[in-house]
Amino acid sequence: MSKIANCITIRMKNRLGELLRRPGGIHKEQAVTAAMEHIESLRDEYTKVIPSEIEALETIIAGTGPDGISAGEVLKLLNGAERLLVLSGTFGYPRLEAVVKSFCDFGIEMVERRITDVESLKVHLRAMWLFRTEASKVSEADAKNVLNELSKIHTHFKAG
Amino acid sequence: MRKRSRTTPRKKPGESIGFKVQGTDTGVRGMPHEKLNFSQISALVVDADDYATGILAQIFRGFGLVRHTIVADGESGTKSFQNGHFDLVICEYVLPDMPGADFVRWIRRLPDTRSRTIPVILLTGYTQFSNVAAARDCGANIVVKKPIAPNVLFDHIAWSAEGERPFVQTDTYIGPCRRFKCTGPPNGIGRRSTDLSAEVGAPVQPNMSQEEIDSFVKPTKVSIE
Repeated sequence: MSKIANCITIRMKNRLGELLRRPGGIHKEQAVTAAMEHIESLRDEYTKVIPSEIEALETIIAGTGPDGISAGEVLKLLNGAERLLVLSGTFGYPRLEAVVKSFCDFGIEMVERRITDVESLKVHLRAMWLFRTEASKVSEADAKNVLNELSKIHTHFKAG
Repeated sequence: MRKRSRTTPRKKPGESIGFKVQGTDTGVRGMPHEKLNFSQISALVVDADDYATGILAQIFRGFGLVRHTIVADGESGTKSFQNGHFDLVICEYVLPDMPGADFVRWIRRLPDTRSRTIPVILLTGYTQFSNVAAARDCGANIVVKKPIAPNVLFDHIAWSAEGERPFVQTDTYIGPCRRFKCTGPPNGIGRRSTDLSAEVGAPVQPNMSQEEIDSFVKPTKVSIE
């Protein structure tokens, strides 16, 4: 241990390193392959819940009053959206992931700028429904258009 | 209000936004292609998202890390940490009852040195620079963006296990040292044509003798006629 002014530097034995270097173990490639296989075993169970997670977001929005959505409700939406982000990012739904990210960015913007308009959130939710499955019928060009339109919402509120 | 952003900086899912030199698919610097034994490690995971923890549990299973405890909030995390014996903590940045950064700060202020210096990986979906800086400054070893990918987690655990990083305690910060020695591009391969290899390589000129070095360095008097 060394001490300079109010700074103490501790050099500890790295217990994690000692344990990891014990005989046996697994190569990175093997570990990652096995982990991916185990994650894949969750695909059916976890992708089934995507619609119910979107519905949960809709329920929060449906419960908002005539004055629009409160910051607390937006934060609840953001927590729910994070779950969707994990699912879409892990199981390879890039379009849904892009929409959820856009939704989250807009939600953050809403909290910071005290925006209470729920219609823009509803538009995002409709886009989530469009891209909820891997085999979405939406063409690449249409998907691009949808994402462009969502980005216009951001631009509109930033400009305002 | 904590600022949060999903789009900046733009990175691939699971990619590190931490403050370490990136590991690559070919191995982590210092531990290239090394076998790691996860069977003796005990990990504490604090995250309220049951999908994220379900996925993390499967990653652990793939790694052979069977001894792990998953709790959903900071209070359960503190209780588990006090009653258990862990070698690694993985914590979400946003917990239902407290910020994940506060949980890390609590760990870093424990009286027992071994507990205080435990490697902590902080997970976050919000990767705006200010959040990453705040996550670093709470004393986490590494910050990893969600959703977490197995290869990224493997690299980060391996990197946390390297013994070179001292632990510092100051009035305002307790955690792993945030200064790093530059050791060149990851695995000796740079992204720019001007990046030099970390390897010294063969000499391009003959070595100087001590006499030559002395004559080069020492000032000498010369007589001018």
